[in-house]
Amino acid sequence: MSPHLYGQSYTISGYVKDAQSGEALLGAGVMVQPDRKGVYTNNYGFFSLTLPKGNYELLTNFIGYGSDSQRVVLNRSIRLDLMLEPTGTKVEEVVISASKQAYANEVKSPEMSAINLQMKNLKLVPTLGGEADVMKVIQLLPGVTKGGEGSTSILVRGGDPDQNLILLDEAVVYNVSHLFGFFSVFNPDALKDLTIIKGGFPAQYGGRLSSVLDINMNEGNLKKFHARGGIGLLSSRLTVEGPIVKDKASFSISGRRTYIDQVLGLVGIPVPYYFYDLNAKANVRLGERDRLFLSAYLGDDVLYAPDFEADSTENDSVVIGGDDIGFGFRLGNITSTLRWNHLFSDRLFSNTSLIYNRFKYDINGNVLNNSIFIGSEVQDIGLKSDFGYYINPEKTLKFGGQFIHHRFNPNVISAQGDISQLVQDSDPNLIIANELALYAQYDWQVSKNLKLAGGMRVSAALVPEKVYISPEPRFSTVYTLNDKNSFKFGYALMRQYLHLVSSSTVALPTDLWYPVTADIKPQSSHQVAASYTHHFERINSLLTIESYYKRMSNLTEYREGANLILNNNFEDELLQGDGEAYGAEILVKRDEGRLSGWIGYTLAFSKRYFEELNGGQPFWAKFDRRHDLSVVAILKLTDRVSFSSVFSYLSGSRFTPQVGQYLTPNPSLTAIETIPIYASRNSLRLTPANRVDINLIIASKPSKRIKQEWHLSCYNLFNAPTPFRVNINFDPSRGYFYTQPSFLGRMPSVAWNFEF
Amino acid sequence: MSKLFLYICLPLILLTSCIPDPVEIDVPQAESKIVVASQMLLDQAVLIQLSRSFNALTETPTDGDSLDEDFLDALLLDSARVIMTGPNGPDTLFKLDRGFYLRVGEALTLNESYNLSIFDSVSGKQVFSQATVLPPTEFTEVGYAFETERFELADTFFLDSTFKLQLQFDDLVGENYYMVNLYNLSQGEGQPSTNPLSLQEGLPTFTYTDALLNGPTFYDTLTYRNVRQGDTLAVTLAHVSKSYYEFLLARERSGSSFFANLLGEPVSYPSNIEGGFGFFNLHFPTTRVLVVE
Repeated sequence: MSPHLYGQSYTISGYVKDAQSGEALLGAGVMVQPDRKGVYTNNYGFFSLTLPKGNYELLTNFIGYGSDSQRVVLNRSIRLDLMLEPTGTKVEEVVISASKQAYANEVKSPEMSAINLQMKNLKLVPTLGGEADVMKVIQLLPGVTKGGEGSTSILVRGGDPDQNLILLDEAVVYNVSHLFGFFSVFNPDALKDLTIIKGGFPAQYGGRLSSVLDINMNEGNLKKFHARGGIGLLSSRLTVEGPIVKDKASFSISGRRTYIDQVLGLVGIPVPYYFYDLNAKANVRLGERDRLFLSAYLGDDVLYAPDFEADSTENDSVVIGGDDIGFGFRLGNITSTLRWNHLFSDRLFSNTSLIYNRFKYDINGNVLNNSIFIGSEVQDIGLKSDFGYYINPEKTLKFGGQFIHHRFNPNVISAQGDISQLVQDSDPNLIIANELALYAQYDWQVSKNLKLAGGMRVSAALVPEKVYISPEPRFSTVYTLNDKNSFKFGYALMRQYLHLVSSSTVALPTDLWYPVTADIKPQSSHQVAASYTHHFERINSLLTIESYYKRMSNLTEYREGANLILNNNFEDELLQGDGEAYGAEILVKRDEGRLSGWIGYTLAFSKRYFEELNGGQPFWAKFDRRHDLSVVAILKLTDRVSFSSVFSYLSGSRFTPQVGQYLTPNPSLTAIETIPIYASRNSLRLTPANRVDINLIIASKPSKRIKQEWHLSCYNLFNAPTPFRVNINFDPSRGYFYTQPSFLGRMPSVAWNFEF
Repeated sequence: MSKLFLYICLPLILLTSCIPDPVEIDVPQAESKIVVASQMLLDQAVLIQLSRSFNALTETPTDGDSLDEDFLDALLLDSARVIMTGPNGPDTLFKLDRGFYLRVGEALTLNESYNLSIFDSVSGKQVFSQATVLPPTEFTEVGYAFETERFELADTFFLDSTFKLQLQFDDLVGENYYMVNLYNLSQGEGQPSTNPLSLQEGLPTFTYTDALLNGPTFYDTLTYRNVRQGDTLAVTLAHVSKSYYEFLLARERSGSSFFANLLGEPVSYPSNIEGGFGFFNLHFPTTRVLVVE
């Protein structure tokens, strides 16, 4: 499109980049003075501003970086790459100033219910076993709660665990857990940043009801080689990155593996389990207009019998050798994304992604001459195109489309030996489902105070004997009272065409994903959210108070006593019903300064309505946690020493208690049976839990060639109870009574990190 | 590094790590209610058994393989007035023994509904229920196949016996539910199965719904592993109510999977007793006797 269409207008476009590594910065604010009009960089660091001819001051800022100011004489369209220095190299005042500007931009943005986290801060937050874990940190944000104690599962705004779209460089990660859910698959050294969106969803996202967690991997340093890594209580990590061709192409490779099996193996203690992750990314600039990115992730959990030699099988799983008894499993994800950025003009940006991902598990067991294999697999091949047309600073049109071809191979069961009389082999059951979506979103600065972002996504799922099509309107708006205060409102209709078949909230290897069918309808939700944002300029903090109401339909639950393991017909066990969730969230955050961190509080309610459960009466969701308070503080004591701590208070999850019993003759009238009496579903709560975690970080002198960091941390410092279930105990003096055991208590840890 | 970890860090961490003591929780218990069980003995006789529900934390004491008599006695309801009202008016049941009440009188009328009213004069509690006398259905055919096999596992020989009960019956008109039970009336002299993979114990109850039945005649083969040669068996077929069928399904589901029990939601048992627990049934089974050869 010619600038002549807009009279004497010209375009400034380019990328905002990290000055040291050359990596693009996503979501950086680019603003012109004196008009105070601006845009944010897109997911690839690109910006475009079309302005009338004139002289401007271009201000660029981004949390964690200093700000940049440049004078521009705009008498022709120009390309300009803006470089920002990371915080560590800037004086405090510059950093604070950049942070203030970023908060001022956030006040004016219609984007709501979204929180961006920088890996730099995230790595300082104390976590279980001293292993920095993005999922554990996300659990500390308002609106997000966890499944069980210590687990990486997230439940957002009263939703279910399968309602979160977790993307790693645009590829869906179906299973985010290692070690039965205690650690996430995301190696923090391999990541650049992440954003969680809980409501007011932009039209480009779809496919899950409750949240989008968009994680970007490091692109690799375009200027010089770097290596960093660490040795923690459980795992070791190593990342190598650098230029392939300076300023044109770079790579980043990260690996992580647990080594407790190797260490204890030295002294003859067999630990037959390990997990590993491998992240790799490369990017190349093909010219002024084109750029290619290739990224991949591979990770597995492996359990093997220590006393037997592992063989390989046709199923490519770990198999236990030996004649007597054994058990093993392998489960993991593969994701890979090939992305092509193309600039059609200085105002029309496009990205096309070819995506492949796979989640697979194999479980093998053998007893005497009997063996059993259980496997499941989901594979996706997707093509996605996103366009951004930057009409002028007030108007942006985003549009695109997506196609995903799913191949599900759930619950493959194979038994050999006498056990085959009891366990039947499953029939071949390849299920193919296709998802399509088209979207468009228009961002419009209506007036100085009012900005709208309205969009429409039309999604469809094509499954055997059924086609589902659904319009998904999206809308968000901000009304700015002044530079420091704004009100925001958002609405989103979301559809979900996949669900997780799981017999529990514990991450089991047997959990599997399954598409909608002719009988199982897509889940959908309507969510409205309203918020107030205030920028405390003096203390450089941002306050957000937000409330939401979410109505959900066709949620999935399973019949009481449903057996999903070794059950090839689990569709019959599935029930669909409705739900509603509402609540309020408060977030006060400070990203820069000697003291940084956040305080998050959530008051939440989440209910379910299933005709065939709880006698048709409404019941509370299992993770209907009423209060959730997190205080995260990172205190920079000196240039080399920092201290961080987390305090969290969390209402207990719900459970269905047994409240009585009775005796009755069995159906054949040959014996008497005891029948338990249960209260209504999820009617009682476990005791609330509170916890303090601390982390002391001691860094080497910045002048050293090899930078080192020691992390001395302690999870649950005061060994406070963190109940996760109810047991029945017996004491001779008082008989039987109920207790709630804790899963994790005080756990100190030490980790050593390096970088050069 | 691994040595540093092994000899210094790991012991330090292990020494200072700990798990909090369990926290007590108060789970309010449901008040004790009247529990009803019923059995149609003949077309004229109905036996009602009444007991009380009790605290979930009460251990059910056993005396060998059976429940402790004193415990059972304390649960049985001795102070009830039991009235069954049908098309011909009310019948007050007489107390046969502690907790057992019997109705003997005119024959019950097929397809008629009977109301049950129970009042406990001690607690003042009252429960109600209603059941319909369901028409019985007959087996049209009952047969079996019996196989015994010896096999070796880890140098040990085991005996695996499989009893396959083949049955056939006509489905009645309308929506129906059936229950099949097998009874071992007397044990034969054959060797019992010793297969360690015989996970089934006892003689399970089988249930059927005609919702998925394609034709008027129902065929099935049921497999049992605890039958031996020479056993005398009785197989019964009862036409049961939908609510009792759902109770049987809940019972089946509650014990169906180790993982479901450990990690899933508990199974709630339905009841057709208003204000109490248990079931008031008016079904009468038909029986065939077999001698396994």
